Amino acid sequence: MKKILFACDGKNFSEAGFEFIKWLRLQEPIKVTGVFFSSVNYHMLLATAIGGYADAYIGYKEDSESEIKYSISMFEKGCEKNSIEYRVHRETEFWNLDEIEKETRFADLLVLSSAQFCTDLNDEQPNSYLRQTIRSAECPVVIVPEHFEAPSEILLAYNGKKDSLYAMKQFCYLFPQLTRLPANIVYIKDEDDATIPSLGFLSEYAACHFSELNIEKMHFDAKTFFPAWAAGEKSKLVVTGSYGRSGISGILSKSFAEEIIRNKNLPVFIAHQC
Amino acid sequence: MKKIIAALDGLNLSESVTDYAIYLAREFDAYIVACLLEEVSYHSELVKNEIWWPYYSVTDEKQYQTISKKDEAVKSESLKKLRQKFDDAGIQYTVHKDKYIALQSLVKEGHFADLILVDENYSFSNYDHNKPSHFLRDLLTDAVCPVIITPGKFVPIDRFVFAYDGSPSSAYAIKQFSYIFPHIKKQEIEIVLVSNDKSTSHLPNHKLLKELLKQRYPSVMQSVLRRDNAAEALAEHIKTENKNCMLIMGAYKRNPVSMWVHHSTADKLISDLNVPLFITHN
Repeated sequence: MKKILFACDGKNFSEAGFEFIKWLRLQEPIKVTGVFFSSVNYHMLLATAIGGYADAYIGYKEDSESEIKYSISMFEKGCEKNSIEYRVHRETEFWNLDEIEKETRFADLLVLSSAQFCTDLNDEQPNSYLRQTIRSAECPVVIVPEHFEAPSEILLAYNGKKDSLYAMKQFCYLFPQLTRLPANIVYIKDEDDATIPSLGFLSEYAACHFSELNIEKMHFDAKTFFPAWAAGEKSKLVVTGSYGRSGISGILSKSFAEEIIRNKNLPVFIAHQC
Repeated sequence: MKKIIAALDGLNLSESVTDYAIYLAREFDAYIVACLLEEVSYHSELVKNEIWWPYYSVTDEKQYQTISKKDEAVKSESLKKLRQKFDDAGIQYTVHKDKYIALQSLVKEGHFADLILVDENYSFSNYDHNKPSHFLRDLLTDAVCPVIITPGKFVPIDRFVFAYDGSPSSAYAIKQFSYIFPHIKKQEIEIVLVSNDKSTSHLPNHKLLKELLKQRYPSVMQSVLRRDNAAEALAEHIKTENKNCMLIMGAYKRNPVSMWVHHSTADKLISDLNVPLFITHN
């Protein structure tokens, strides 16, 4: 039994994110913890409240509470209807990294929606809240786009480095049932003569875990063309590890995973070591 | 099916690693990769002068040649024995040979595997008599996948013991262990809450931990250790109550807040205990 976290801000309850959870429920019993927090950091208004204009502060607080209540009721109804065991963790406070770290430390997977998460603040995904949430999560994260379609194929991005293998391993551990779907491991490099690094090791490992396996090499610039290429005909789930948490994150901000999130057409599974 | 690396030294084949490999392959349906590691300056007996030594002489060359020949003979004998043993056990396995730089080869193998099994006495050096050896320490720091350090002698596992000290890495270790061994039928599960603070039995996020364990294992035993020296208390607890267990614990070195950070702590557990240790860091 896996423990899944489902995070929503304010009234931005994600239908697609919940569709993904329903689909997971079809594979195996799960327990879902809904984490709800306010869309707006109303504490910023506290300064004006002290100055004598408390109305704005109180108004915001009431609004955000009713928005959260709406999301929670949607979540509860959905869980009951689909017989999913659930728990509501209510954060009336604003989005808080410490809480996310703590909750993800004791969970198997975090589900977020790229169409919905903190879009009141910045609707160009991945916004800084989504980015920081992914970076500080201590468990793998799935980012679901606006419309979720049950994947019929798993697409694993491989770069020969340990981070892509880490993501592949975590995926196999979390979803042993999904390893029966056709798996496609792609090594993408914009060089004609590029051979797949450590191919022997890779096929030995992948053969232990996937029943229908294909390993291929693509010659194009991954960041620019991958989302369009991957979109294809079949619905897919992309597995990638390229999302560092290092101090030089500026370099990673244009990462491959972000490009897929920006395109909002495929669900992405991201796992990285802290 | 999980892929498990059995790290082996052709000059000194570890009975315990091969026994645990067979045990895990049978019990948890694993695929074993026997990885025969070598080190350029490591031989079956001490070489007086290596070739890069300035006073290297003809007699040294002769001695080196004889030792090399002996090494080869021992290695091929080990390989034969190993194959025989695995064939008799009827497990699925393969052998990876010609790994000339032990640590780097093993770390790379670990990128493409779910688990590494290594003997606590392995050092791949004629000079390093530390326990744990430099090789083992470096492996624990560099390995991406979890490592099981096997004791000198194989004992079947009756109980899995998780050591939790409230650190993120100890929670991470519990999760990773449950992914690699999802179906535990015969063995018991115990969680030991280790606290350096005598005054309180409260550990951070106890509720969340309980919830996590409850979903994975139907019945979990619990004990609390409150002592100034956590490692000693833990070692004592294992020795007295859990003779046939596997101890699961978090990071070695990487995490500055973890209690395993002190050399003496981890060293003590590795050298004192006669049980396999499952160690991983995030």
